[in-house]
Amino acid sequence: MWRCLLDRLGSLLAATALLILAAGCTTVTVVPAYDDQIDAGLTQLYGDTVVFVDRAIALRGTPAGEYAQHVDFYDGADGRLEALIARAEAHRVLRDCPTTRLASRALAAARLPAEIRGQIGTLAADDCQVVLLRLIKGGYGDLRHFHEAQGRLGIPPSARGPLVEGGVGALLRAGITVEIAKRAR
Amino acid sequence: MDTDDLVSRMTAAGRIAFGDLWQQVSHFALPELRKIAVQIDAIADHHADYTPAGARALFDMQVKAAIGVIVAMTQLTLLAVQTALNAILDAVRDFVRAAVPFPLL
Repeated sequence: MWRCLLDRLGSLLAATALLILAAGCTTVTVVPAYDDQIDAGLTQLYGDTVVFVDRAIALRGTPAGEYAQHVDFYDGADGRLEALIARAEAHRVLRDCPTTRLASRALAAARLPAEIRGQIGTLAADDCQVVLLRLIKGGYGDLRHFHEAQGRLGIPPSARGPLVEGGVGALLRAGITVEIAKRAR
Repeated sequence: MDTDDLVSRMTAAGRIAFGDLWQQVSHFALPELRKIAVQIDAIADHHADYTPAGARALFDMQVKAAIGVIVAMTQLTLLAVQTALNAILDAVRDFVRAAVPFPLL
C-alpha cells in the first residue's frame, strides 16, 4: 500500500515538474520582445539622418554646411543610440530577446546590401539587437569622421549614395527591419 | 581614369593575393573589387568636391564594406581578407596615384 502511494506521489511530482517546466518554456517564448521605443527611435533617427544629409549637401561649400555647425546632430544621434542600446541591453538581462531565427529570417527577407549583412554577421542567441545598434553607432562615427575631414567643402552630392544607400542608412534599415519583424509576431 | 583597366589590375593582383583560394572567393570578390574601382573613379572625377582626408574616409568605408562582404560570403577570416585586400591595393597604388591628385592609397 505504501509502495503504491509512493508511486502515485512520484508520478504526481513528475507531472507537476513537467507542467512547471512547460510553463517556464512557454513564458520565454510568449513574452513580447518588441520594444516600441526602439522601433520609434530607429525610425525617427533614419528620417532625421536622411534629412540631415540632404540638407548638408544643399549647404555644401558654405560655412553652414561645415561639420562644426552640425556637431549637435552627431552628439544627439550618439545620445539617442546610447539610450536605445541601454533598452536593448535591459531586454538581454531580462532574457526576453526574440529568437535568433526570427531576427535572421527578418534580415534575410530584407533587401540589405551584402556588406551590411557581412557586418551584422550571425546574431548571438540572446543578442537583442545590441550588436546591430552598436554597428549603427559606428556608422554615425564614420559619417562624423567623413564630414569633419571634409572641412569647408562639406558633404558633396556624390557622397549621398555611399552614406545613405550604404553606410549608416543601410544599417538603420537593418535595425528597423528586425523591429518590424518582432512587432509582426 | 580607365575603370576597366583598374579592375583588370586588381583582379590580377587578387589572383596572387588569394592564391589557391581565388576560385573560392572570386565570385564574391570580383564585384567588390569593381565597386572599389568605381569609388576610386568617382573620387577622381569629383576630386574638387573632396579634401584628401575626406576622400580617404569615404574610400575606407568602401574597403571596409568589401571586406565585410567577402568575410560574410566565404569561410575566410577577417585577417586573411584584410591582408589580401591590402596586397591588391598595394599592387595598384602607382596606377591610382597617377589618376587621383592626392594620396588615396
